Amino acid sequence: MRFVLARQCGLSGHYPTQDPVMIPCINDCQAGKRVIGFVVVRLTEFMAILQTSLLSRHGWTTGCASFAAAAFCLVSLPLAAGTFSFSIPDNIQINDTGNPPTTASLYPSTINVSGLDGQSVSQVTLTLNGLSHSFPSDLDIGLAGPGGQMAMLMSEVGGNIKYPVSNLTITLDNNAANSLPVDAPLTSGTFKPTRQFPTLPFDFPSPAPSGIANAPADLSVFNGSDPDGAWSLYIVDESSPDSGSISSGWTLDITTAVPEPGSAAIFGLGVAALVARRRNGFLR
Amino acid sequence: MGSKYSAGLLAMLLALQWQFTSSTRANSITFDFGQSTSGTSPLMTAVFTDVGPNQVDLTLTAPGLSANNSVNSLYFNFNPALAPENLVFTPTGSTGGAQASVQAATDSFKTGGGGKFDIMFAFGSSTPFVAGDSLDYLITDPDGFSTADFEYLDTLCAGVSQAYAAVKIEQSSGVIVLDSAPQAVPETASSAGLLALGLAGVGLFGAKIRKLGSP
Repeated sequence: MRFVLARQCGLSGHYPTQDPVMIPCINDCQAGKRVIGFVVVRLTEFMAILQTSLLSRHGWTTGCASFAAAAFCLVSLPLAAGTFSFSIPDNIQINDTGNPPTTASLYPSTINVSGLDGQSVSQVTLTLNGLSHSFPSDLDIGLAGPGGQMAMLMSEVGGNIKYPVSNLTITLDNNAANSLPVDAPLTSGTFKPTRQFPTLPFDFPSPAPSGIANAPADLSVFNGSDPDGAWSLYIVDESSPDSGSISSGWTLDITTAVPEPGSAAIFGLGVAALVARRRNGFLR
Repeated sequence: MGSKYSAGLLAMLLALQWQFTSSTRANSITFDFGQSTSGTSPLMTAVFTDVGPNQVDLTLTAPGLSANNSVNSLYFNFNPALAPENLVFTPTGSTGGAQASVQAATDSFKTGGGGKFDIMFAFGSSTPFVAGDSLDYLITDPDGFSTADFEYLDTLCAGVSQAYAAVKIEQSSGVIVLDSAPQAVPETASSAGLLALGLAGVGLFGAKIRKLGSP
């Protein structure tokens, strides 16, 4: 077994293109992966077992297209853990009607995350860019993740007295020091997701997933999930009159963790490779 | 002739009763918060009474409030054709140490979830409204108004019924919000008048029966 550590996959120039082992594998590399090594094996059955069990289970992928012809096969792991930022700059109008709850002009507003397959969410924060509203506690804003998880970001906060706000930048972060104010005006800053009451007496209109109105004000519900897919922001105005907007859309920051392969799995992989090499006298 | 006389008298009685009822409704309205069906006293009562041209008296009492409860805030609505910002609330009397800050602005106050009210009485934590307290205000408005202008619903809110008035009461178990619909309160003179009219009607009906029964 030979490890080639920390080679970024999908970026030209990072591979020793003269390396006959690596060349056939480069084209199979996927964005968002880095090559941590390749396994030298002979038994295609062994690779098939790896592919169907260990590799796929942990989100690993093999870089070679055909196992049958492969004497060498590249194993790539997901890109290292990090924080990835995704934004949608759309102007979202927070409408008002005489028949609340009233949905926003983009309902949902969706960010499609890709390139993080094989990784898992370890933290999510979300920023509303340019929030204005004449009575912010009319707002209920929920987030649905690609795996169906739901969180309430803010609900009935910003004062039970009319405190209009304009062009605020509000980041919702479980690790913030303070919750959003329930009895005081909203300000720009970083706050914990907050809801005044644990439930609402209505559900969000379709196509919002059922139950989002009563979802917890807790972004950790997304932890451990696959970040790739559609992240949908559902905004309703629950009371008339008063309206507002989010003029510059929203930003989703996803911190990921690479699933750690167990030590036993690594050990087993190494032993299997050595056994295969000894039995077959391969690549001595 | 007798039949025409009876019909005329009945019409007059109905007209008088309508007039009494109408004037009663305009003179005074009561909001009872938390009145149980078993007849116990409401937790809180607010009575609006016309006391003069463009003058309304408001009396707040808490006849059924228990010792460990207090009123956090109180909410009312105002005729949307008028400006609640122009209302002036002047304290005219009190029992106990309760004090409230009074704010009035169109659709500007919520109990939490729910619609928006126009007037809010907020009691400070150091001067709460507790059992035995009472407060009186004289409300004036240069634009002209009466008690009837406080009989309006709050704004629409998803999943919540509209309310004429609401109170937030702090209990040991948490905060509760109680709504109330206005009830006309007959004044003493009006009650006497209504009673007299009712008795006269019964008497008239009895006389008519007797007349029909006689040969």
